[in-house]
Amino acid sequence: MADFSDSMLVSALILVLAYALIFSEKLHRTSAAILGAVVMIGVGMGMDFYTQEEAIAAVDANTILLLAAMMMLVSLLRPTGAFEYMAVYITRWAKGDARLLLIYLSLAVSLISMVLDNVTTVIVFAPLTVLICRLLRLNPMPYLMAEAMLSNIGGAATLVGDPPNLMIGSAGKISFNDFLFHMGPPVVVVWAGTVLLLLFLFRKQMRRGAGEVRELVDTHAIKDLAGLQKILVSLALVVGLFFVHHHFHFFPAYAAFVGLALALALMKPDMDVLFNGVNWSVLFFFAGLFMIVGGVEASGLLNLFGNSLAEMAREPGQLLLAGLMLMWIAAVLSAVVDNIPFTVTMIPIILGLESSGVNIAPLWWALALGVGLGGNGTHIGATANIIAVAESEHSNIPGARITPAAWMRIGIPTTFFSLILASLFYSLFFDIFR
Amino acid sequence: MNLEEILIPTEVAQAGMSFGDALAECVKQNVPGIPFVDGEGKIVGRFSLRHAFRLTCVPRDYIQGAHLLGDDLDYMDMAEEKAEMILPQPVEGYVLEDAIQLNPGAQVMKALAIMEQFNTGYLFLTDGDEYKGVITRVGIARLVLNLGCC
Repeated sequence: MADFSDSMLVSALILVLAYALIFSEKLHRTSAAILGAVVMIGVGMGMDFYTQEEAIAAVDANTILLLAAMMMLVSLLRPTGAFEYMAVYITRWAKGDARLLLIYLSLAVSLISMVLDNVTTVIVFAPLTVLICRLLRLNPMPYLMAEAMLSNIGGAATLVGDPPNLMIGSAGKISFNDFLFHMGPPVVVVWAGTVLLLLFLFRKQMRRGAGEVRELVDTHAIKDLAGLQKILVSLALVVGLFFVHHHFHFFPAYAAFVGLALALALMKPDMDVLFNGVNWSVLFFFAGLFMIVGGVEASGLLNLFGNSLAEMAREPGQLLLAGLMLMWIAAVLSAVVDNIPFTVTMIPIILGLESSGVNIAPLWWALALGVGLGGNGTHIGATANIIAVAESEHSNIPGARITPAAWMRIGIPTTFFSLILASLFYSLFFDIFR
Repeated sequence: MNLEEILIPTEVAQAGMSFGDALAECVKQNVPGIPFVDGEGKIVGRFSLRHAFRLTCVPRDYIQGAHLLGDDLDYMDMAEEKAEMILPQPVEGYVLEDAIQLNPGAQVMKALAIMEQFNTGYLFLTDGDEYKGVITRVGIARLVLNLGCC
């Protein structure tokens, strides 16, 4: 085993300081990540353990470009009114039943989150949810919380549903189908269990039905029918290509760009508007993190850390235990801090284990389940949660405000319950995950 | 064209005034907003009808889903008890911090450009620290009509 060197110590220090800056929110997380990357590269060059070339190579272009393409597709879909149209019909189908409304809204948000960014989905659906609840004279709190939590869970099912999954899939060279095959079944079980638990936990708020059925009208819901048709064709192409990308050796990012190119040709959007729809801050945050972790990796520290873990995980009998530990640690950390830095740090460690003869496949799924489910524990555990909280505050409806304590009262039992379900599934069907 | 020709002199809002008083002044002078001044009479904000209604009557979700609301939702009318609750409120809670001011000597095109830049339909005319009144886009339209050209 290699000795602990000065460059390892320095790179670890830069990583810890950068992450402390990110989590403290003293500086915007993107600024903190860029600052950390600049320091890591500068110090790395000075101490001769990291180069500019290595830093650029450390940025996972597949992840960044896939995210950018999906953001652009969403920014083309959003103004068409498709989400509003769905909301109108969800309200109709629920027929004023408080429980059905929660199930339908959560299902819609979860399904959309499997393909599109769940943050955008919740941003669009949250105000519509408050509006629907206002019409039906229901407290929007259970609905906002359920949408955020279940969109986080739904997003965990697919390669493109959640940024950590993109990173895991890209690093592990996992296809869209493989991701869906391995993550779909546990996510379905966890999703169904969570809905039942939420219906139980919110039983007081949902005791009464809404009474009089009031509906939204769909007359003006669709603002751009021709645009909607074009973007749906493009999105269908993207999803279709996701299912077969591995056969053609396409990167998922390329599959997304094929659909985006079609959408651009068909819709001829205003480029300024299109690029305004891209969350550049998130993309640069990720790029900065990749560069920071790349420096730590180049120093040899992650390899040293991985070797220690490999001793434990190399034993086939211990692999299940290692996977479960990883899942729970990832979940607990994801509940209190951003799950992206943790994922970015864990990826090279897991990749390093492979060279030590460890079967790393189960660890990828454990990591994806942990970071995907852990975010539900607190109101700051996932961006979708923060949006739900903000919307509840803006609603000014008595009793609707989601305080941090109110979130945790529901979020912590829900997260534990979903982790127990995921752990049971992972343990019982461990052969699938090998 | 002289902006003072379309000037509408108004009272100003200040701490201690009620929401209802500020609203009444806007209605009386037929303007979309009036300045809010501090204890020394300096303009430090504005009472805007649009902002006031947004805070009191139109939640964000209504705005986003406005096109989805049917016309038969009778309970969405402004309730009498709500109006009674809002009107005596102190005006300070409904003040916007930005108050775009213009010199009476400024040209009409500049006034229109500033209205566009700040997405507003009215501006406050001030001569130094002295508040003169409000000019509105409708007032400028009247000026243009009086000129007989556009």
